Amino acid sequence: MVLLVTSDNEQFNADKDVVERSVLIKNMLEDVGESDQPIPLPNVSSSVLKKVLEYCEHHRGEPLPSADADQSQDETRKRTTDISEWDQKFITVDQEMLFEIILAANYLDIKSLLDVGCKTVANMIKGKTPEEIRKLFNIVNDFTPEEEAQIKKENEWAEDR
Amino acid sequence: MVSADNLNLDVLELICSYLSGNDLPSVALVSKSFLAGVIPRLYHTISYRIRQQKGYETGETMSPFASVITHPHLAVHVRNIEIRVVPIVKSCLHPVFVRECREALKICKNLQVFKCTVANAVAILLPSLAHKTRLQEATLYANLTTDQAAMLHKLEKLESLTIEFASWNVVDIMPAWTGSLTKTLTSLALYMINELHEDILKSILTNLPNLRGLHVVGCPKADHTVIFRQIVHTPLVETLSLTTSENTAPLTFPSPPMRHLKHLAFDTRYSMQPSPSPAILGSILAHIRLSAPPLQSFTIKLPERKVVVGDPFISQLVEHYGSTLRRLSFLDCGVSQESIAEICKNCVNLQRLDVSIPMKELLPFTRNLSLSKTLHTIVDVDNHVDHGMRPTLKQENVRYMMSVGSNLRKVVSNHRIWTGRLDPVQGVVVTLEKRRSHSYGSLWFMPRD
Repeated sequence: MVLLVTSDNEQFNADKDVVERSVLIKNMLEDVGESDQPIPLPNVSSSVLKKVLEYCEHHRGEPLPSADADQSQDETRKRTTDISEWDQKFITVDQEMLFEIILAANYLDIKSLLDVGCKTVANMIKGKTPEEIRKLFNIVNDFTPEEEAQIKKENEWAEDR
Repeated sequence: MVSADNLNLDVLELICSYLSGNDLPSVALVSKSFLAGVIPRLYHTISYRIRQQKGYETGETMSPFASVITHPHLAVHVRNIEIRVVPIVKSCLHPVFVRECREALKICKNLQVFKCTVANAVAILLPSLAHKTRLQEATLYANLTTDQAAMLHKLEKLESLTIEFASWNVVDIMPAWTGSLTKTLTSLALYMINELHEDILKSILTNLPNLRGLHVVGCPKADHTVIFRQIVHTPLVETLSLTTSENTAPLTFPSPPMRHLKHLAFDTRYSMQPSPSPAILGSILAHIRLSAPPLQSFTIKLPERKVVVGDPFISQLVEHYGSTLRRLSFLDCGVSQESIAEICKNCVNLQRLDVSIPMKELLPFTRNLSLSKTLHTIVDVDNHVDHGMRPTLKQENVRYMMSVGSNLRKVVSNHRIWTGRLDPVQGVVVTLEKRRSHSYGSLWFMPRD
């Protein structure tokens, strides 16, 4: 068992093969060797860690992606945004939790969870206008009208009509 | 509070890597951070086609190459450049466009794929391609002079090469050029080259014993008889496309080993009356049979749709490869309903069929399709013949096809894609989406996903 401590000082006990789905924790455990020392996770709150552990628990035992998986993937093809049924259900959370999970997956280096989160956001963006995307995520348009017109002109070639 | 706006750049880039098409320019306009996140994906592939050139001359639109020159930091992301069209001014290539293109190409250091199928443009752009150490794939319209052809020698790490409409000067250097590509080149396509002689092809193929894909199409001096004499030099070939002429000279024995052949495409000539082509096609199949290859896909293209692929040929094909074939394409030709039935009954792994959907015989056609338990996708290839005269496929036709065909879930016709989904209550639910012009310009016989 491994003891994890969250940013709000909650302690979580979890199996080694569950927490080792996080490359960050796996490396930490390898660095310190056998020890009962708790692992501090100052960037992850307890509510988020609970979700992350639920994900790792469900996917325990599955093969981890190799470090160079990104390179070997054919970038030219349209990448699939399909998400498995369990993952889909798991990631159906409010927007703040979704982004918290993505940031935690990025920090803890859990590639498959990061992918699920990013695909979910990509699916939310698909087919929307810039204004609709801003509204959806509550983003302020920080371009001047001139900048906006310029960017539109420079990237107009990429529009597929 | 965490929101989309303060995600770090890595994460935004990853999100954008799952987007494509119109979503990319939309995301670019959201905010500065989103623009930064979408740039690697947006500039990964630059395609310049008919649509893009609209408004170029009047200055309404900018070329993507002009954007790259204006913001040189974009260049590092460009992996793929495809130029299918160059704006024309006074019947010459637009000089400003060509300059933009050349300058941008120079700074795209990570370029992996370059395609240019515009006559006379390759000559101007070739110097900018020299020393692109990451360039793996090139498609070139190669009507070059001797001096220009000599520049091809600088492309020395290609894995895949397509040469179209080459002049004799280019054919002339092919043996020496391919000699330097021995280690890397695995796919070679030679398309519409009048000057390609058998002895040149022989020298080229002797240089390329590791070739997996070989396509020699529309080269009058390199028909099927030539290919079957010379393919002995490339025994690992998995994908083969060739032109079958009406030359009845017997094929040489013993037949060359083609044990690895998986994908086969015939560009079949048919002009004499009566044509010897059916007999020739039969003898070619028999010839290949001797290697017993695990053929997964077969494509045939005839000169016009009035010509029907003979039932005996289809019977022979199905008898030999019924257990392995997954995909069949019949382009610009007719296929009898008896043949469709035979294919669907006996090709037990058939997944995709590309054929002209016979609107007048839709019922028997649909019934015949339902004989296949595995067929997943039908692509209607008839999109230019009989234009306007032919009734178009309707959603109710498609729903019927899918409810009868046990595994049929996708029907593509013209620019429409219907996808079916089995609903426990409503039965087959069909949704329609518009097809983007993805395959525009790519050669019909080249393998696609």
